Amino acid sequence: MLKEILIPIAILGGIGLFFGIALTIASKVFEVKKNEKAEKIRQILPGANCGACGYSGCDLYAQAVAEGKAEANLCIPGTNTTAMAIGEVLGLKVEKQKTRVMKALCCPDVTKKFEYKGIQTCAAAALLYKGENSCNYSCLGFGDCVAVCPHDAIMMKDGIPIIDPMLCTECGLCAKACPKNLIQYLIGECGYYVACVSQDTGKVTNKNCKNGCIACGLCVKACQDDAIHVINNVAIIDYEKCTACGKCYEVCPKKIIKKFCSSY
Amino acid sequence: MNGDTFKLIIYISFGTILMNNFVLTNFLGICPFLGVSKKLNSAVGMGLAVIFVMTIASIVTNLTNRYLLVPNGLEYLQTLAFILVIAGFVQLIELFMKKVTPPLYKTLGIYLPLITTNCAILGVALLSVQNEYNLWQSAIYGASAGIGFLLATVIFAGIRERLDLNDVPKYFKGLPIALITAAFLSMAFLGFKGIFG
Repeated sequence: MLKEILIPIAILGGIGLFFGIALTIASKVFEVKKNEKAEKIRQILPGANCGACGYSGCDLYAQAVAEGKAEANLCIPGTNTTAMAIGEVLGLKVEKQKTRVMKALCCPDVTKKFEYKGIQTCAAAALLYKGENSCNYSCLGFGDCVAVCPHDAIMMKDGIPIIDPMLCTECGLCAKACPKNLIQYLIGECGYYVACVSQDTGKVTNKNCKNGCIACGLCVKACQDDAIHVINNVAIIDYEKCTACGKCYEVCPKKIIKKFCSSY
Repeated sequence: MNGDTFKLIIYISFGTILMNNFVLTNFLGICPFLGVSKKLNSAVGMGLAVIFVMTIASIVTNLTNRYLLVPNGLEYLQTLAFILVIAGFVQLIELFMKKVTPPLYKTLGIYLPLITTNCAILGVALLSVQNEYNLWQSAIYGASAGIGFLLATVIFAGIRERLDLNDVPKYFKGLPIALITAAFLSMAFLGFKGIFG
């Protein structure tokens, strides 16, 4: 009688004891050492996990900074405050970030090649003959960028996304989501940008869209600083040289060179 | 290895992967099946973890059963002892994973305890005892049960990724349509029943 009770208890208890001891040993052997600096840096980072730094999350970026593999000023949502704070943890001087603004480089006034009734996303629409708009480079307007923005900084207005610089953390997720690569970084506090990326020739662009860059070159001639060039039939501003004088803005016959400011 | 053993291996493995698929025919392990099948990557990771745990669990429980329980006439303690042994082993694997592959641990972190007390794992152990498999047979049984789980989850994850892009009626969005899809998948797997006729 006693045997029938004691043997099961001994066996199950034995198994339990064995695993108890094995787990204790394993937790010592496989102990993961935590990097204290990485922990501290992780706490400073905003935790948006946006990937703008080039790492797939704040944890990995903190790890990389702590190990000296990455620069401390790569966190864009955290702005300079974060960069400085990380610098303090590491005991280094950190360079200031450049002010950047994100804009969608399009102001479409286009006709439609056909009527699209498929899945209502830009990514899907772009797969069918590059979208329904007559201009193959234009904004499709389904708002993939609005959907992907983690900070609700984008809204669609008149067919193009308007990015609120106050809410935008410049994480760049919208730029990745746009199948037409329309959303780009503009560098500087205030300045000018070309609101068109059409690489069609002037004649074709003119036919397709009333607000397209026709590559006339007037802006290139007007620029005193050699900062604007027509490359592949579209004017592109070199922000390294641009002094934001506004000469190009004045001469553009299509009025597609526009002002931007990081404060509004 | 003679012809009969080879035949038995084929019979056990194909039978478990396709005909008696743990998820789609026996309806064991539905929780991780629905939980981890939202993305293909995590479905693959989870499937691999299940294969690993199932293989080890069936070997360990087979040994426990043969050398500890049967000689002492304690077959009635199978469920209890198996849970204990499996839970202990999964804990060990979890510690090991944390050290060796942190990214995998991060993706599977919350699911590993789920595997521990999962009915599919216990099902493998109990069914292989019920079928009176010996050590290597139950190892093959466990591995193929895991492969069956991987197959089902990966197929299902692929379908669900496409399902997200579709225009699903409002009240079917999310889990309802996933369950209906799982039912269709299960019916499709019923077709494999005819293989060995």
